[in-house]
Amino acid sequence: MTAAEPGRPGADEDLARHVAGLTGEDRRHDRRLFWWELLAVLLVAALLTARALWLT
Amino acid sequence: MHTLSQILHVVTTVLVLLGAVPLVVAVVQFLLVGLQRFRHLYEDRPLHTPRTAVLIPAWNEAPVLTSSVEGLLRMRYPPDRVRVVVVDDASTDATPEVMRELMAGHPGQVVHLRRENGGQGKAHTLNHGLAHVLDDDWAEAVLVMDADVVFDRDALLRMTRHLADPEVGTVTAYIKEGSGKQGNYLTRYIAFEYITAQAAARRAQNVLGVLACLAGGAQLHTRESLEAIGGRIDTSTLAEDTVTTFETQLTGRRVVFDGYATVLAEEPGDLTGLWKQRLRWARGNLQVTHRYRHLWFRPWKRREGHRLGSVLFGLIWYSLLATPVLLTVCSASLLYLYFTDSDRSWQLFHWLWVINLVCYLLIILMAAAVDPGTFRRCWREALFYPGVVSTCILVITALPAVFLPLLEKAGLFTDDGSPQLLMIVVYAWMGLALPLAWLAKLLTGTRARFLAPVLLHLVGYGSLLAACLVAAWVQERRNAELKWDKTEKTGKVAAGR
Repeated sequence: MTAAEPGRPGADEDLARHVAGLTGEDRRHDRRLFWWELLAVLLVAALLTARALWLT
Repeated sequence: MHTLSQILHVVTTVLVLLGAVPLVVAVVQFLLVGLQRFRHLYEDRPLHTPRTAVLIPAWNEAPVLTSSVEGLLRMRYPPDRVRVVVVDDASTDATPEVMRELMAGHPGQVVHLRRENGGQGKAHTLNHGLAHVLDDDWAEAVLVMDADVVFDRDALLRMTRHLADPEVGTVTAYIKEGSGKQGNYLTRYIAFEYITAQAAARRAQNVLGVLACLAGGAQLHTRESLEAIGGRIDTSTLAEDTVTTFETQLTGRRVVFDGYATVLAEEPGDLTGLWKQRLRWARGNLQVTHRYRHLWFRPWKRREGHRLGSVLFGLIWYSLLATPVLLTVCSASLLYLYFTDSDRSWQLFHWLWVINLVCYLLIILMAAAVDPGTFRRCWREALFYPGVVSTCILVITALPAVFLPLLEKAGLFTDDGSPQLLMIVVYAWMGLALPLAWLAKLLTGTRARFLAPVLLHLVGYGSLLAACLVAAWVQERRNAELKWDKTEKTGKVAAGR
């Protein structure tokens, strides 16, 4: 069923808006996760470098 | 003699390096997690709310049924497009009475199917329900769930949005350990395991375009997808969810994991229950490995419309299965090298544990990023997930210049080249942890059961799973009877919401 179908136009529009909001939020979270991952990789690399240079 | 010794050195060196394979594969898998954004799973699409039949297999689930069904009907979803079908597998408790009340309260929305001859397991129960649901053309999608799980209010909407893509056959949700503050150390270990094995690993599998397993407690299928796999769930193995996942992908349909559609589930709170559950899963995975032996490591099968033959997917699958063997062989090889060429053994050991350290740090950081809420609850278990002993080895090998002098001062270590008990135990630890984990499980049935958690903390939760895998392998070799042991549930998740 899509929002264009007749039956409950108002309710469907509200629901469609709600789903669009959820999807946007999840998309943003996915993007943020990418940057967190990059940060995690850089942090691990920095720790290994520090260890190799000063701590062994 | 010299040549034989050289050959043995090369072989043992290779075997030690093989011990690093599961770690390297885990690192690669975790590096893929953040790349999910490039798979465009969350594109804006028109609203898609198919008529969904929710199938709940139930055996003596009276304590949780009311809250589960009421919770489902409270989800944000058009009420005329959801029907709950409870398949009662000859329950001997108050399930029929509870269902009568639910049907009276929600006429037309709740259906009670009863099998008089039950006890054959979840797959048979589901097939009874599927036959009913697919008998008429009302259902456009089928949500298979467990009686005790609690769906987030938006979980179904989040799952159905993927079905707007005609290539997607099935969607699975993120099952979170749901005991919250009522949980204990074991449920917190499980909570961390689920962040890594579900929320993170399945995101990585989304990136690879191939999923290993649908969560049994939350899987949404399109009607077409179910019909394409015969409209039935496999009953010949103990891993019906994995078989469904593979079969769906073999028909050319995609299986998607939505990490934002969350579902809370009750998990075993004691070692006996956990062992029983994981033994069943491990045996199921061994059966699946054999059943699909014609698919592994065959990337050209991509032409058939699926990626089950992908090399990385095969490595992910097999590195989990082979972990007990690899760890034991790696430990034995390190010991051999220690007595014959201690310098080489130290070098290899050092590199192995540095890889281990990278894996450990990456997994902890990514787990904190993927599901910060759950991580806050289980961060202590996360830190000691490899076990107290292995965590100490990690720290010492990470900073040998700091810790080795301290060990020398304490008289535990001398650098004079003579064999030392501490080093023997440390080199053997990866292999030694498996029988000790098994011992922890054995202790649960004795008067010394208070020692079981202590031992588990020492050897690590992963060692317990690896020991369970060995037990599963032994049972499979012995052709032990395939029993569907249901995990005992108390309903605390449903009650706590």
